[in-house]
Amino acid sequence: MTIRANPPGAVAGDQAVSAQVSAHVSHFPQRQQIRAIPSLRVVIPTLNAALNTGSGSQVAMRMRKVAGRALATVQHGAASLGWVLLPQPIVDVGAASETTAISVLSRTEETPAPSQGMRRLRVPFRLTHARVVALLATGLSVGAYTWYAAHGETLAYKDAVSHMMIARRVFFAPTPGLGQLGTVWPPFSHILMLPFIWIDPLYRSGLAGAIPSMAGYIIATVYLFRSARLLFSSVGAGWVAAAIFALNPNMLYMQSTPMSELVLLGTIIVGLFYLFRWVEAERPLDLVICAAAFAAGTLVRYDAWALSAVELLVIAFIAWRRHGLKAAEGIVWLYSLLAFAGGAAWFLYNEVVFGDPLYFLDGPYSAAYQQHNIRALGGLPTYHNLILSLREYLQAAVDMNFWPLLALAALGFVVTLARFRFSERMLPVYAVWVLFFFNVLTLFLGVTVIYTPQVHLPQVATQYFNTRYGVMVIPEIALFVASLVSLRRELVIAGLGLALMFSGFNPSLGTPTSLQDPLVTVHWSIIRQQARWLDQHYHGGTILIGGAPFTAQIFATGLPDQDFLNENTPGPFDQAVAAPQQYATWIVMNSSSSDVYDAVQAHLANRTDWRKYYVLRATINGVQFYQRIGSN
Amino acid sequence: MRLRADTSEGLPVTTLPLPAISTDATGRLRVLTPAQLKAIDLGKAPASAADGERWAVWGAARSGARTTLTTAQKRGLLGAALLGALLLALEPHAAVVGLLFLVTVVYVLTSVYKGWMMARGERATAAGKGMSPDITALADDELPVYSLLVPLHYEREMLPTLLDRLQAFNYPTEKLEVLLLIESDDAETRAALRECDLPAHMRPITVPPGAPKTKPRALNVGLARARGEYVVVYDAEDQPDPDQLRMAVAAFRTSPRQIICYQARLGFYNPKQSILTHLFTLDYYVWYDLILQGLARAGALVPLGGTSNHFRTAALRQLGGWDPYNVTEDGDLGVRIARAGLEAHMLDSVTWEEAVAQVNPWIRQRSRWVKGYMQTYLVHMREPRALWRQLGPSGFLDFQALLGGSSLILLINPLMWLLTLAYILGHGTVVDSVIESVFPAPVYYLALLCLVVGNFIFFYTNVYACVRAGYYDHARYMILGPLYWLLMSVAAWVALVSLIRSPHYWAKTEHGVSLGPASSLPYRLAARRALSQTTAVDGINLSIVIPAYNEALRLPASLRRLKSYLDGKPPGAEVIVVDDGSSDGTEDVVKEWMCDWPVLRLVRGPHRGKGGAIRAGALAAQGQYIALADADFSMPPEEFDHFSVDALGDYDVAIASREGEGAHRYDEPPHRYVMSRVFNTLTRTLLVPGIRDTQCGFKSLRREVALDLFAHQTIEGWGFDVELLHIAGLRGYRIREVPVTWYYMPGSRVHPVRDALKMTGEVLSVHANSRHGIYN
Repeated sequence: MTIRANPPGAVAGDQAVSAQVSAHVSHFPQRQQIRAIPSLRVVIPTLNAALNTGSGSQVAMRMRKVAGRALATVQHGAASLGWVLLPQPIVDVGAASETTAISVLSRTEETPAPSQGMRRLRVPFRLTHARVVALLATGLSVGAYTWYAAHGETLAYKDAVSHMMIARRVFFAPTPGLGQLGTVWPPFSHILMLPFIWIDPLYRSGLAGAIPSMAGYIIATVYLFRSARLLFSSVGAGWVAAAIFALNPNMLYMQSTPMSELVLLGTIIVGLFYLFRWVEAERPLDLVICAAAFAAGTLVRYDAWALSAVELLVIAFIAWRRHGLKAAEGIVWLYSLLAFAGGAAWFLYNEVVFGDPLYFLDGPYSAAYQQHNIRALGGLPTYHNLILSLREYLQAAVDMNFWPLLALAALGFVVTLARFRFSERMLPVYAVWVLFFFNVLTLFLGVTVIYTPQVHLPQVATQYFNTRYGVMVIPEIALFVASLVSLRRELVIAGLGLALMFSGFNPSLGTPTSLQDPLVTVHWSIIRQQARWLDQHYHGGTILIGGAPFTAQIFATGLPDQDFLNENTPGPFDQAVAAPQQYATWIVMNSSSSDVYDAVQAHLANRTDWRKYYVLRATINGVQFYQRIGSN
Repeated sequence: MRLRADTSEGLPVTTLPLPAISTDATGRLRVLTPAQLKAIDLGKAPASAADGERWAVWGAARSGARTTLTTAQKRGLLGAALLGALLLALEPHAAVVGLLFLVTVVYVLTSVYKGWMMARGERATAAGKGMSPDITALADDELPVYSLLVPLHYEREMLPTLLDRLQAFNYPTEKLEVLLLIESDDAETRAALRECDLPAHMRPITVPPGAPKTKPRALNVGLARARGEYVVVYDAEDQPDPDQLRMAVAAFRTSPRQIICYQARLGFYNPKQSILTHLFTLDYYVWYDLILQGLARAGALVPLGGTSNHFRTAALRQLGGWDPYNVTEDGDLGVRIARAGLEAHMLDSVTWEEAVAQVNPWIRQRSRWVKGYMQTYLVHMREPRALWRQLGPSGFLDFQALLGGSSLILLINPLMWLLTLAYILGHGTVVDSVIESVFPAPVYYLALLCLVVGNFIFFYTNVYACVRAGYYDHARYMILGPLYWLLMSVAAWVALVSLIRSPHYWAKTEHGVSLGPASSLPYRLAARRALSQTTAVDGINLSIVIPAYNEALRLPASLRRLKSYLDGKPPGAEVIVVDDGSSDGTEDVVKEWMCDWPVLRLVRGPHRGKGGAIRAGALAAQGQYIALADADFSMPPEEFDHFSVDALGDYDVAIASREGEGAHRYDEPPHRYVMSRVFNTLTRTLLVPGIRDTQCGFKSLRREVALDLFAHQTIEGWGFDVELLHIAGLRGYRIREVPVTWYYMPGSRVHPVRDALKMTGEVLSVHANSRHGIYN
């Protein structure tokens, strides 16, 4: 049995096709007639017509989507006739195919009456491009983690340990709870670690912290693929974008660590994809997903705040241009209420837990505080120096990528401007540049600090420091190179080759720039030495120690979390620093000032009242270990 | 005549041509002429009282909401209460913690369920795009007979519009049967219908007197008479899509037998009338366009909406029709459909309704709905195990959440808000620590999650719905969502009290009327139409309209004075007393007077306010001139001489004035005088420059002027005078102030504070209307 829809004209719109299909669903033969039919075919010549009139894979892609929807529609109609139907989908709408038939349904021998509504169509698993990308990304992700874990490098950054310990404290602290998430960083990546962090082997190995990063990596890869494919109507462009991102050694390393960069990239790339799609199709749900992803991003790093704010302007502008002011207002509400909900929740959390909505900005663990110290030491040359800020961040971007790719991206940007100009589709893509300028701005304002050896600065060490912030331009690089290669098929091969080259022939493979930074700046041998010393001499009791400056040491001792008392447990900590002898068996603090605020040192260094109860057992690289007299 | 009777379903089903067929009490067919048919039911009770009664309580034999709580349920509730009290006495802290834990769990489940329902709806509507059945395929001769049940109760003013809309269907009239169901005590509507030239396929049916006087009972009467293969319910103010019947037929034709009902989507045609309608519209949209769609697509239980539900007639009869004791008979029917293993689905067609625009009527309406859901919940929970068996686990969950959980949450909400407020305000005091002690960490986190995330989800889904529905400019009102929830909670508590005190009382939603027709265009159009259809009667020169609300005591004296004044004049006057929904026997007083005074007429209606009553009187007036008078006759009737046709000259409107030269006020308390002057200053500044007294009740207008003014009137309370004069000014009518002698009459109905505030509000709203061009 074939149902043939004959549209009056060749229309390539989704709705037209759906309408054709549904029109024929209502013409279904009666049940008795259907019983005699072995299978049912629905042919939609519109698809052919559309394919013939349209060009390129964009139409094919849209048709594939339409075909999927048509299937569901037909299925629904058939089910409403009392059928339980086995799907036999041959939903292939290849551009060259002569007859674009969708063989939809075939009937089972026995047809029980549906009692609980319409059956939903179950399409068997098919290997789509996006799924292949996801599979490959998963393979790369697991492989990279295994490699770096085997080399003991997943926790090279001190911050990597800090991230995990923050999540860990929610379960294991003298006063456990969400208050332990603290304000050093926004909490989303730590919340993602919660399901794993309480499992000891996962915590000690760092895997508990790396899982969110790995997920972020896979998701970012897939959604970069989808974004480039959507924007440039080219599967090849999608592959190139995905490869540039996924094969970047810095991405591969960072995704193996508990650092938050990949979680951030994952959230904002998902958000961007749905934003791109909203611009295309204007489904409000896409905008909601976009806003939700951005909201999650704002709770990972502050870069996302800048992005979601700028994209708000883009959204408002597009909505206003398309539908006028009133519609723009509604759409702006829809987006901003959710996109900025994360920020609002962050303020609320700071207010509820620390009594100050801006605690994260100006509290003692804020970046501003650290940078203040660094600046005092003369280590902030970019402060109020725009040129140097630009140079420094640009260099970081180069270091995190492969310079030929960066050059291609620049070319791609120019080509995209020429090709699409300021079309609505491209506005949200251009807006992503805000991530670049945001980072330059933070350098200029002295809120962050980046050192690269290439930008020789006499007053600071010639080594990488925070160079990883350069990863924030990767979405733009991937998308603009993709834009470039979407021009010609041959270019796709070149793009893929370059991406592979960066991975395979990069001089820094194995030790990417993002790994060189901690290997040089974090003195793990000293930290281990300090931790080992404490571990050997400690025989129970409470250790009063600054949580922020000694994260790595605490982790490296391997001692139970409950043995440490630090500023993250305000009540008991305040009692303990007031009269340490009553509460603490050990006191660990810096002997001189450091860039990270040491709460114990701040309270005790200038006081003498407690010293008579303690004996200084050791000073290792400026860290003092006091033991209470009479304890073992 | 070709006739086919099919009694296979136990009840007659007929085909062409409809108007000539009727059933008698025994269900046999008899053939009638359209004239005979029209004579039936018109103003009369059904052939036999037993007949009417039999249909009216259809379904009541079944254990419906006639009894609110069964003995077992009472015992259960009592037992639970005792257990609670016992726990509270023995372990108060643990009991409170346990209770809060339970409440929190209910909140979590509700939030999750709500999210899930929205997702289901989203999926269903996304998949169902373009699923509307194809009506072009249906030839007229393939169409079955369709019965429309339209219950009417004091809908006189909606009638012309309603009849128009009922004739707008794209459906052959010979296959259409419209049953207008009128309550036996509603002589007004029946009289109005008698005056209409009803097409042959529309039949008024009088619902026999009896209790309970509810819409479902009327519907049952209609269902008994319905001869269509399909039957649908419409309310008086509905504006269905003209293709809806065809779509329903097409949908039924392609549906399996177990789908016995198609519910059309309901939307509002006045979404922007007030802040409340903005919120209400969204509420409706989420319910009908998302949640019900999702439920229907899943083949789950669908609590039907009160109107535009299309049924297979035979199946509905087998189900026993509607429960006359349930005030949301539709919701109950939805559950019964699901319990019978049948299904209700959504029809991709919209019926436009009127959104209640003011808070009080809205609470009345919503409290009825909540009460009905409570009734329905209790009825079906009499046998929870059977319900579980019949609905299955997921259906049972839907039932618990939709019928029970939703009402419960509304009842609990204010308590929890108070608790939160106390916690915030009592920060650092003993209140704070007490509250903290009853929220152990897990409960605290759950509650916090509900408070922040749950509320955000509830609020945000509405914003999403706004944009999804294209109601972009509603989005900003969603900020006020929490206030709407507060109103819902108020309604829920009103519902609970009402359920206990008068379970079967039907709080009718006044269509068009209660709206303060203010800016409801459909209402004003309806009024305009009704007014334009009235005609003057030769020989009647003057119609004196007297609004009366609970004036049984003062009215006789006034009528006596008026009668003696009119008796001395040449004939040609009529007196119309408008009983504005009085409950003190005003109607009887007038009826008594009518026996000896033929020029006296009575118009009755639900209570609307002075402005509404005056308009109703004008609608009935037959004279060339219309005079308005107060029921207390504080102005001697002789003063009418100054308002006579001759005195009016080339003026269009004459108003009595207690100010100016020649006017006298007697016995007026000083505070009244001051209030009156303050009010006049306000009105003069804003609306009616130069008029020194708008509020004296005596006015006289040329008929055509009166009709024009009343057609644009939006205020039904005391402030209507100002509005009329303002419109008159706008439209360039000439107004004359006639100084009169005026006596203050004790027993005034005007409340010095409440009504003064209300009138000020009305003046401001007239000002706003004027600026928005409503009177143009």
